[in-house]
Amino acid sequence: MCDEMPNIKLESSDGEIFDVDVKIAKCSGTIRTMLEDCGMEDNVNAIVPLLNVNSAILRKILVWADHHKDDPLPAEDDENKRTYHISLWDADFVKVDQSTLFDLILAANYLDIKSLLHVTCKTVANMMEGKTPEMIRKFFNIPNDFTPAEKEQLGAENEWSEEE
Amino acid sequence: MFYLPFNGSLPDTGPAIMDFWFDAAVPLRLTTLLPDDGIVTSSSIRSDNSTKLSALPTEMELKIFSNLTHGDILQVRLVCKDWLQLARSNELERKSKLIISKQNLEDICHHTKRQVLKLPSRVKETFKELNQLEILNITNNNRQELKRVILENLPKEARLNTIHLCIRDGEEDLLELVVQKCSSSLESLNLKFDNLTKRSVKQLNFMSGKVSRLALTGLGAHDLLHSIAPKTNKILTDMTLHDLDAIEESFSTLIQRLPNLIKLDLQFTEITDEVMGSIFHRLTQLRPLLLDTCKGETGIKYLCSKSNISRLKQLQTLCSCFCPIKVLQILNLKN
Repeated sequence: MCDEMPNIKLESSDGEIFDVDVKIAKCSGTIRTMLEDCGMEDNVNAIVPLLNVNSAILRKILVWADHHKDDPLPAEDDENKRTYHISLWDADFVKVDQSTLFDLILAANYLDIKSLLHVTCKTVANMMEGKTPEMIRKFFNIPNDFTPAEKEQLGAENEWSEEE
Repeated sequence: MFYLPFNGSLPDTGPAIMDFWFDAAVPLRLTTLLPDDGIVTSSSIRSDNSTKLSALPTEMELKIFSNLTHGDILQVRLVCKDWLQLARSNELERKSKLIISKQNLEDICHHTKRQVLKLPSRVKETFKELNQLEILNITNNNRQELKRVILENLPKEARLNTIHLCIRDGEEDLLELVVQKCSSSLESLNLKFDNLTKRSVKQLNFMSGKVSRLALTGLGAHDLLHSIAPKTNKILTDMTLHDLDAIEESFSTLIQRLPNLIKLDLQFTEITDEVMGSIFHRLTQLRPLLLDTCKGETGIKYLCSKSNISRLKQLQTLCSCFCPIKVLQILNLKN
């Protein structure tokens, strides 16, 4: 094992072990904090269990992390400014089926990878853009749970909003 | 989808792992636990329990919605009860986006003309985003306030190469703004002055060696040299001067200082014999030449004078009402 490039083992929810360069693993805020706060940095044999991320998603996340390993860390107060640039590579990365996309959001949130969380959420938002409620329901397979009475009331309310 | 590395053996974990960690990440354990066919695709692992949008926690849904404009939020909240609640959240900042499409262009123009369109700060933000803008034409006099907002908010990194602008009395600072922000990228300047002041002449003087196309309306003859060619200007290739108040000797000097001019437009400007002669003498590279409507036989005389139009060997377009056939006859030109 080379000193400059220590590795860390990550275990997915389905029990697969991933041997990952620490630099790549540190794209995850969760893992970064854990390594720094718990002094695990020297313990190369430690296995970090990631109970909420399965192997397929973790593999994808590691592709993201490898590509972005040299990106500067976003400043703490930067989060709301949304200055992330969505590169072509990023856009291509999130061209996956809906289920994978939502899994990526959950994993990015759990692992605290802000750039990935932003790109995935923005991608879902783009899917909603310019669609009517009915189109959105169909696209994401969401049942309409409004009663006819509620629908009528909402219709009136919405007209009012449009005129604002 | 993943595949087995190197016939199932685990590669050495050294520095080189950076390059093929994707392969190396497939652990030994998997190679032994795999079913007989040996290849597993990600979709077959998780086909039964696909994740739905509704599985995302509220916090994530809000994060998604925060990327939407107010108009889209209005639609999204009608999708289901949960989202109706969410869309009412105070965390969602109200955002608007002005999207100009073929469909709404007419409406927008209509509103702009009627000056109904107010300029909230968000519109200003829109102009700040225009860093790819190359051509800006804001000659509409009715919207002085808009003109100022656009120029003031134009990002510094904008690589504007063409600008069309009317400068009325008291607006000299607009030209200063343009020069300040875009002097390094501007190639074409089209300016209409109500009244050219010293302040503006100074800015034009500064730009004189930078732009290759210049169109000026409302220039006084005495400002010509100072604003266009304080010294020999080899950059300028295309010059339009409309409504020049009076042509003086300085015009001949100006022409001498523009050796690379290939397009000259002097419509709506009265010119003298002397000027015409110096054009034919000096500007032999001219391709299009646009002149004022002639006021009688004298026009024909210009074109046929000693230093005449036949010197313009490159000429492709001649716009004037001088009778071209008659000119050709007098000069006995072939072609």
